[in-house]
Amino acid sequence: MSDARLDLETSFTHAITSERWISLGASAIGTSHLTKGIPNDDSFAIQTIPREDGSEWLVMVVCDGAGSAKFGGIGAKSTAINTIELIQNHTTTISSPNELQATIKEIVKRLKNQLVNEATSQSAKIRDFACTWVLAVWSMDELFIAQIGDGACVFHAADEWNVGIWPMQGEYANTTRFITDEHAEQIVETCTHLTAVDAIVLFSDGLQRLALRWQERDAMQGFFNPLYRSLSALNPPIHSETTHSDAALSWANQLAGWLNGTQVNSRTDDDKTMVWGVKRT
Amino acid sequence: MSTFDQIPFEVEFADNPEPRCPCVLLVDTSGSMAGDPIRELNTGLRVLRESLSVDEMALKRVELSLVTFGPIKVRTNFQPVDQWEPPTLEAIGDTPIGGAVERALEILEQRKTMYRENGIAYYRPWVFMITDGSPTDVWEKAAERIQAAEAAKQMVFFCVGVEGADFEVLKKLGTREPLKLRGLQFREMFQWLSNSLCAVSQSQMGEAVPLTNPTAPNGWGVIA
Repeated sequence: MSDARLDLETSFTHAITSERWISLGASAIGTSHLTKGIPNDDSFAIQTIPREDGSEWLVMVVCDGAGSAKFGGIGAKSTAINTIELIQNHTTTISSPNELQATIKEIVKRLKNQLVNEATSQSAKIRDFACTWVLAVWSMDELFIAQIGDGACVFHAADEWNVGIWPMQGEYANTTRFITDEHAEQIVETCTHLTAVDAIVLFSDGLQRLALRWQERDAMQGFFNPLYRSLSALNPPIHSETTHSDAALSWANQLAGWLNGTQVNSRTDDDKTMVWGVKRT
Repeated sequence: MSTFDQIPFEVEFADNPEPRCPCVLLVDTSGSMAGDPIRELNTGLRVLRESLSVDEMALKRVELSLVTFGPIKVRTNFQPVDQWEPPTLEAIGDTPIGGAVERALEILEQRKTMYRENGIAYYRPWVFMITDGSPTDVWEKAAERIQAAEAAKQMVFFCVGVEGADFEVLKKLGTREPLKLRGLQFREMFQWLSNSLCAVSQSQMGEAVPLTNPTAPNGWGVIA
């Protein structure tokens, strides 16, 4: 039998930088996926949206394909990409991220419909594309978070990491909700933060038991701070945009290496995705 | 290349309790189990402990409880595998299946409450019953409770009958077909239980856990 592991992509990264933002992410395959020869079912997407007033918003999405779904990884990838496009369309007529609140159910329905279309074209069922969904839309002074399922978005404000929406779990450890659920638009949770946020991190459930404290229901400060310090070192002096975005991608690659390392893999065997957004000072 | 390539991440990790995978073994120790059956059963319980002990995740996550009948007695409350010492069982009593099932469900509820109060995540509990007889008490109420709990996905109830068991009653007890143990293959059966609990305790979010079919030609069970 050929070794299926050889064909599996172990990690992928992406980084974007602009005058206002640094955003980057890394996704690394879980050891249990490697052993079973199944690909990384996590996906993420990041995009800046230029605003008419000259400002810029940052959109970040993390999706995790359900292990039980035949095309969960494809569902996650499509949903992450579709989300960026939809948010771009939905933000042209609004003046602050919080106004997405009014259309969030519509957005979820549309994302679901896009998966229905994809399922139909492949003669599959929508639940074959089941995935979780964590979205953050961030302007310079407002952070909007929406979520279905587990994973989470944490944000750094007043020197402290806070959890936006706690991971949705069913009664049992291996159950959660998906964007493909029948009443997904009813279960979507949202929150908005107006305090001065200087960094946010979205991550998939593979990291949630390492990054969140379950009993206290809060973020593990010592998990995020060292990474934030290291990432902040990317800030000025900046000599040119090219070197800066190179530096961001290099940091993302380093993050991928760490996510694939023994420190992390001894604590989780699931796929791991971490996406950062940092305001440039 | 930039200097931060060399900076290691000195990250601290949250120290969360492992999610638990509780399983109640509900074992018939009535007089008719005397001799070879009870001896093989005792060996089987040790096989279960040994094989769970070699699985790193199961060792951290599976919790076993042993309830015997009759008389109905909680022999060991929920314990992690490495602390679980199955007692040597003797076959002496009658067969109060109804009461035993109710006791199992009761200790499961207590355990779940403890998990919830301590922020411990848990998998759907298993109740695994083994009997060679016919109930000597009222079992209809227990059957209702099992079926309600299964419908609400509160637990998974498996029932294995040894030669001589009243399969007509066992069929009415749960929602899954009872299996008939092939001969006295308790060791093989507990090995299967161990494998299944290992699979469940390592399952990820939203993952359906495939169990091997115990009624395959070389399996330990047959359809009753």
